[in-house]
Amino acid sequence: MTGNDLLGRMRALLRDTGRGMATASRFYQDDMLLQCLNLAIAETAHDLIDPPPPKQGEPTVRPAPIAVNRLYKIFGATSGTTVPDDFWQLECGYTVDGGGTFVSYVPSVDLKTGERYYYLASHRVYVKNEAFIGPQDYVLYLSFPAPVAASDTPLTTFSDGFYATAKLRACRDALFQEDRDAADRYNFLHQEYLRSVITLK
Amino acid sequence: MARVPQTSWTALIEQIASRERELELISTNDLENEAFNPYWTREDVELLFKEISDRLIREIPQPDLEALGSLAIALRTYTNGDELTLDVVNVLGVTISTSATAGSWYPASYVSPASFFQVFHADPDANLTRWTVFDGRVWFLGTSAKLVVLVEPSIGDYQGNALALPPVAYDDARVDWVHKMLQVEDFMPGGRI
Repeated sequence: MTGNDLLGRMRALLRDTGRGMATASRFYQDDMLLQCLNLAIAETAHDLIDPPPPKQGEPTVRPAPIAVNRLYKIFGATSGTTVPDDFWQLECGYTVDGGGTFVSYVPSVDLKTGERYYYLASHRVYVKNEAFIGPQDYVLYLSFPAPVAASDTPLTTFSDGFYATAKLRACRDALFQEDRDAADRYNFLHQEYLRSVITLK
Repeated sequence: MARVPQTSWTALIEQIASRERELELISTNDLENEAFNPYWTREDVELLFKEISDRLIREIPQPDLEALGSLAIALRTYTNGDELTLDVVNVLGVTISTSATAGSWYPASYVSPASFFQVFHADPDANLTRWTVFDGRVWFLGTSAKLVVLVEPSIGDYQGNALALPPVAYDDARVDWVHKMLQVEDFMPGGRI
């Protein structure tokens, strides 16, 4: 799966291909489709890491560790090391001995808790002013998915099936962006439908 | 004897082409090949097939897939920290060997990356065998791990008629699905047929 494959499939789903048409101009610009796609990839990944509460009438999204755990990265970071460029969320830290062998787990906390624990013996790892603070030697963090560009280079962050799913979400969002009125009407009708169908006896 | 799918990849595309009145897709006759027809190129249909097949592979229960002899179910052996390649889309079961000599294999459970570090020093023989995935790699405590994995075949596998989703029954499902998906994509309201 390449960025160009995804763009081509998106245009097909949005009926924005030039085939059989008298014009070569397109309704959607590549940049706009890529923006939708990259947002959809990050949002889909976020849903699979931390699923949203189930919506009425819609299937429940479950955590999908095999699909998204590839985003976890190990990063050598003692106290004060700046966060890496693709930093998304902090998971935990750990310490190693002189030989590089794992010694101890360092839980992550938010900034206010971390500051209060800082002077206690076993304090925690947290992020302050774009730097990791804590006793750890390494941190485990979730990296932000690498952006997809219009190219023929195979994408290497996720499996093909993930990209195909995120692409559907991107198409939906592009469609709604094109016609906000339609989105509002869809939401209204959808809610009305869900409310009314449960009253049927 | 080589085991081949009952319906080849090319035959599937021909079925779709004739159902969708897109015979130019498969024709070698230039007179039938208009410049901007067909609406769908062969690559479009192949990508669509691939997408649908990838979803079917996730939807068909594992025993069924195994009974079909699908190459989507595979057994792979890893050592700690080995790369979990991108084509692995699910892990169905894990056993971990804790000793190279004795060869005792224990069933292992998945834990989240953070939990993996918390229970790292638990004795795998006595207490708990566990595995996790992060950084694109498989992690566990032991000498080696056998993973039963669900593999996403590449488009080349399908084109080469490798045994990813072989039987006619599932090919029918794919034909129907393609028909619906292509209708959604068609620029003529109401679809082409």
